[in-house]
Amino acid sequence: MFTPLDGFPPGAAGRYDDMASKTSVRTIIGVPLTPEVLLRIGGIHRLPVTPAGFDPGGAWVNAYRIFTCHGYIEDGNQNVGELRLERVPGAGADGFRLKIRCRIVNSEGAVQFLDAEASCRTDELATLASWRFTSRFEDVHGNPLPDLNTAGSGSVATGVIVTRAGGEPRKRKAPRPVTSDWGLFEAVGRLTHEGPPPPQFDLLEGLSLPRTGHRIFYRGVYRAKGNGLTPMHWFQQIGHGLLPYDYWLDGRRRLQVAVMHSRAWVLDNRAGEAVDARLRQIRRRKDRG
Amino acid sequence: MPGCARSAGERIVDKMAELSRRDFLGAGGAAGVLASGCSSPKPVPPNIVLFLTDQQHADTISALGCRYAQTPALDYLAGHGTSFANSYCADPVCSPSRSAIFTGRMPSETGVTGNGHRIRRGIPNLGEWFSENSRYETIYAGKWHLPRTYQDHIAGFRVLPGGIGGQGNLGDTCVAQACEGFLRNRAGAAPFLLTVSFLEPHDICEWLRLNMRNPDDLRYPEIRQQLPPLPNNFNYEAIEPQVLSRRRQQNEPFRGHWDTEHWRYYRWSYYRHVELVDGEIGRILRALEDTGKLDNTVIVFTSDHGEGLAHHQMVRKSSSYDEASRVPLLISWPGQFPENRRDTARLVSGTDLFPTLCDCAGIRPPSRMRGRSLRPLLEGKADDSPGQVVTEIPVNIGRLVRTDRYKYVTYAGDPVDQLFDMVADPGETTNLAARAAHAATVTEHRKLLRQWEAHLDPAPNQPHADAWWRRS
Repeated sequence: MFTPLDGFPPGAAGRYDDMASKTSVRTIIGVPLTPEVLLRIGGIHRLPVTPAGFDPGGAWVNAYRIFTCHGYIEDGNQNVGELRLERVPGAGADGFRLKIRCRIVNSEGAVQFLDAEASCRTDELATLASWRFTSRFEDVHGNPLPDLNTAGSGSVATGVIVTRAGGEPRKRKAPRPVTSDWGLFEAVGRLTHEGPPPPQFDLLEGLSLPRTGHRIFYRGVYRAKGNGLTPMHWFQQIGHGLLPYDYWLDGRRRLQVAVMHSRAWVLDNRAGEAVDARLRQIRRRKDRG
Repeated sequence: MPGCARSAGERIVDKMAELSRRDFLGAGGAAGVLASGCSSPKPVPPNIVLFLTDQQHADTISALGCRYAQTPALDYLAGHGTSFANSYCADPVCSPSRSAIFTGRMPSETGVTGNGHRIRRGIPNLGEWFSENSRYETIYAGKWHLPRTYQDHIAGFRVLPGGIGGQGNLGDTCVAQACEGFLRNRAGAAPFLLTVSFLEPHDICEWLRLNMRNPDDLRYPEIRQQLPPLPNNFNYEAIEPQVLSRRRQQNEPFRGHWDTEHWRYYRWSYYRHVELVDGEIGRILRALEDTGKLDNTVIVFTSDHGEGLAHHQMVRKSSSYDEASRVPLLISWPGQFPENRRDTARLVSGTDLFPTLCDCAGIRPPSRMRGRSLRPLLEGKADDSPGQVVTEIPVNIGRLVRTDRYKYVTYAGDPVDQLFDMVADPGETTNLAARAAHAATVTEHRKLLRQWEAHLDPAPNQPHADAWWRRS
C-alpha cells in the first residue's frame, strides 16, 4: 500500500532539540510514519526482543519513548517524552489495573509529569471502570510549579460517566463503551485478529478529554525492510477529535510502535535516558544564552 | 439576572458532551438569545481569556455551519456570544498577524513583516500595557513567535510552561493543562488577562510533509464515505499575481501530484486537527466554570490566520484569498453582551482586539491604535465601523483592501491586480480588475489604500517600502 523510501539514507539520527534548521538541506519525508520510516529517520534504532512467555493479558511493564517528527528527514525530529505502562492483572473486581507514568519535555525545558491509575475491564477495549490522575509541572531547572497542579478522577457504570476535577462532579451519558488512549495500548495486545472488529467506542484522552465515535481495525501483517524489524501485526484506529492511530505489535502481541500523525511511541527500555538527554541539551542551550 | 444567567443545571460539559448541533441550536434559540440592553455593570473589571489558535480556517465551527468537524467548545462560545463572519487578520502569516493582535498596530509598523521577528521597540504589547495601566494579572501560555515560537520570558506577562515546536497535538495539551492548573488554583481577587495560544491546527503543516506523495490507496478505507467534498472554488480563474501561482506550484499537492481523493483526505485530516484543539479549549472552559469565573470573564476566540483547505487549490497560509486572510472571531461576556448573535455585515480586523480588550477592562488603549473597540457593536449600539479593512501580505509584498462589497488585491511589482465582488462571488473565482466596467472601482480602492497607508508609521528598513509609502 505504501511506497518505500527508495534511496532514503538509513540511520539519520534525530538529534535536534529545537525547530531551528541545523542544515541547509531539508528533505520532505513525503509518507506517513511507519516503523520503516522511523527506522530511517532515527526514531527507531533497535526494538527490544519480547521474551518468550510474554502474556499480553498478564503482568508486564512497557516503556515507550515519545518521538516527534517535523516532516523532514534531516531536521526537527526529537525525543520529547516517555510513557511507562504497568499492567497489574486481577487487582480489584473490575479486571486489571493500568498504572501510567508520562513525562513530557517542552521546548523551553519545562517538564510535565502525568501519573495515573485506571481500573479496566478485561474486555476487548479495556473499558474503564474507574480512574484517577495528577498533572504537575517543573521548570527547566527542576523547580516544581505547584500552582499549576491538577488532579482528577472518574468512573463509568451503567452507562453514566462521572468525572471530578474540582468543583461539582460532572455526569453525562455514555451510550458507547468508554476506554482511554492508554488503555488501548493494552487492549491491542489482546484484540482478536479474526472476526468482526470491536464496536464503536468513545475514549478519554489522557483520562480527561472525551473523544467520540472511534473504531479499531486489524490490518494484517506489516512487513518492513529494516534492521531488527520483524513482521508485525498492525491495527488502525479512527474517530473524532484525534488523528488516526496506527499500532504495530510483534509476534508475541507486545505493542512495539504506535503512531498518531507526527508523534510515535517506540518501545524502548531506555526511554528515560533519552528524555534525560533531551533535557540536558535544552539546559545547555539555555546556559549558553 | 433573568435572561442573562445560564439556566440552572446548564453546565458546559452537558452541552459539549451530549448535544448535537441541532439540539444545541434549539436550546440556544429558546433560552440563549438576550434582549438588547442586558448590560448591567459588573462591580469589578472582568477577567479576560484570549484563545488564539494557529492556522484555523474561518469556517470550521460546527454551530456556524461546518458539517465536517465536531466543535462543541467553540459551539458553546458561538452560542453565548457574537461571531463575526468577516474578521480579517492583519497579515496571513504567524508572526506578523500576532504582532498586530498584541499591539493593535499593523505589521509594517511593528516591524514584524515576516516570521521570527521582535516587535519594534517603543510599541507596547498587550501584557505590558495591561500591567502598566491596571491591576490585571497578565498571563501567557503557548505559542508567541515574536520572535521565538515558545519563550520562557515575554515582557509584560507571566509565562506558563508548555508547548513543543511543531507538535501542537502534544504541546497544546501541556499548555491547556498548565492553564487549567492556574485557573483551579488561583486564589487572588484581582482580575486576570490570560492568553492561551494553541499551535493546532497548524500541525496540518507536518501532515502535508508526511503525506506529500499521492498514495496508491486511501490509508484508512473506512473513512472514504466521510471525506468532505472539494470546495466550490477549488477551480478558479487563473488570472492572479505570480506570487500566488508560484506558491501553489511549490506546495505539496502539486509536487506530490495529488488526485481528488487525496485532496479530500487532506481536508478530512484538517478537520481532525481542529477537533483536537477544540477539546483543549473545552478543558479550559470547564475549569472556568468549576471555579466560578465563567460568568465574569470576557472570552475572545480567534486565530492568527486561516488555512488554504483546497480553496483555489491552496494549502497553508500567506495568500490574499479569504481562506488565508479571513479568520474566526467569537466574543462573549455573560450578562453584558447579547448571546447567540452572528454578525455577517461588519468588517473586523485583528487590530481591533487590543482596543476591544482595553475597553472591556475599563482602561484607555495606547495611542495610534489602527483598529477600534468592538464593544459598542457587541452591545448593540450605534455602529461607526469604517467599512474597510486592510491586510498586509508577507513579506510586505502585497496589500488587500476589503470593503463592504469588494476585495482589491495588489502586489508590489506585479502587473496583475485582483478585484472580487464578494457579494456575488464570495469564492473569489472571477477576477474583475482588468475589466473596463470595474475600472472606477479599482481606482477607488487604490485611493482607499493610499489614504490608509498615508497615516501609518512604518518601521524603518521595510522590504518593498517604495511600493507602499513613497508612491506619489
